[in-house]
Amino acid sequence: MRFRAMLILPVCLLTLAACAERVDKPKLESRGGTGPLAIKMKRGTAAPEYHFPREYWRTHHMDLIAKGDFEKRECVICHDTEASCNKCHLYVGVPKVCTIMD
Amino acid sequence: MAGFLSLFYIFFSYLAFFVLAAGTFYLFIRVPHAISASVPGGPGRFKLLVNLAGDVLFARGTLKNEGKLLWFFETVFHWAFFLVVLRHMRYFFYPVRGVILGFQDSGIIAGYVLPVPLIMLAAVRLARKTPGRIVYLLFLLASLSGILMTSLARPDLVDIKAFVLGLITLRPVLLERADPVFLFHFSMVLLLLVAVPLAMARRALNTQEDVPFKKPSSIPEIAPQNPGILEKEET
Repeated sequence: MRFRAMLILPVCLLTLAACAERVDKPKLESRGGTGPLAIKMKRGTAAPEYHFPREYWRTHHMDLIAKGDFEKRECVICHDTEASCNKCHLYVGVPKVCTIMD
Repeated sequence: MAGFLSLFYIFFSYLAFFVLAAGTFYLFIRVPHAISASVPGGPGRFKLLVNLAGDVLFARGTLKNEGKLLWFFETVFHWAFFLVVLRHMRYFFYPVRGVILGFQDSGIIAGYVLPVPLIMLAAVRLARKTPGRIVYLLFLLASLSGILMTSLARPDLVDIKAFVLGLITLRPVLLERADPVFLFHFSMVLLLLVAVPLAMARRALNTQEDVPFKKPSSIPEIAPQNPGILEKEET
């Protein structure tokens, strides 16, 4: 009986393939990012020393904010939420960063 | 290295999907009465759907065959897995719909719950040496690596989503960074795509649980009452 349900799997995967929309992933414009999700930073914005390696910040910034090491308001000093943060947040489906900080 | 691994995983992703589709097709051909409701004397279409829903949502088959404790863990596993799959839907769509976003928190909780029934089910299946136990082990490893990614070894989600969307839209892109935990998790999922239809086919063909009539594979020999008569007739 149970293997009848297995029919659902390939059907779901094919449906996903039919529904999926292709879009370029969010990437810094200065590093070749194109399309509606290209990330824009103000010209001349230099990352401070503690912001390296950038990969670590990209994957762990939420932990640093949750631990209280940093606050969102510190991020938005350099990052424009709409042109920078929310491009990735919308892409991967995590809550948007609000411009007005509480 | 990341480029080579990406190519390797792109190839095996499509191979796994091919095995899944072929396995389903094989079941459809080989065990048609288990899928079709139009067999004379078989269950009606509505009853078939009810049975299917009962089996998937409430592990009805386990309750019938393996007792209440295993049924409980199987049901918890099914629901937790369902929520985890819903959470993973965010990797398959852009833009991510509100419905999917609504399941993110419950998906995280379900992800942490998932290993508990899996450990129990895998332990019982291994102890009893029932077929399909490898599937539970793969589920368990996938689940544990998923928790590891959620809590400690966070991967680059943007990179992963681009990779997954590329696979789905048949325009694959390479991973920028080969994250070992993600690659392990992804490997387990690909192996599951292959192992699930194989385990199901094996189970269906071995147990023939839906077959109304099973032809005996061998006819038992009956010793003749008076062997001398046969010998006389032959001569």
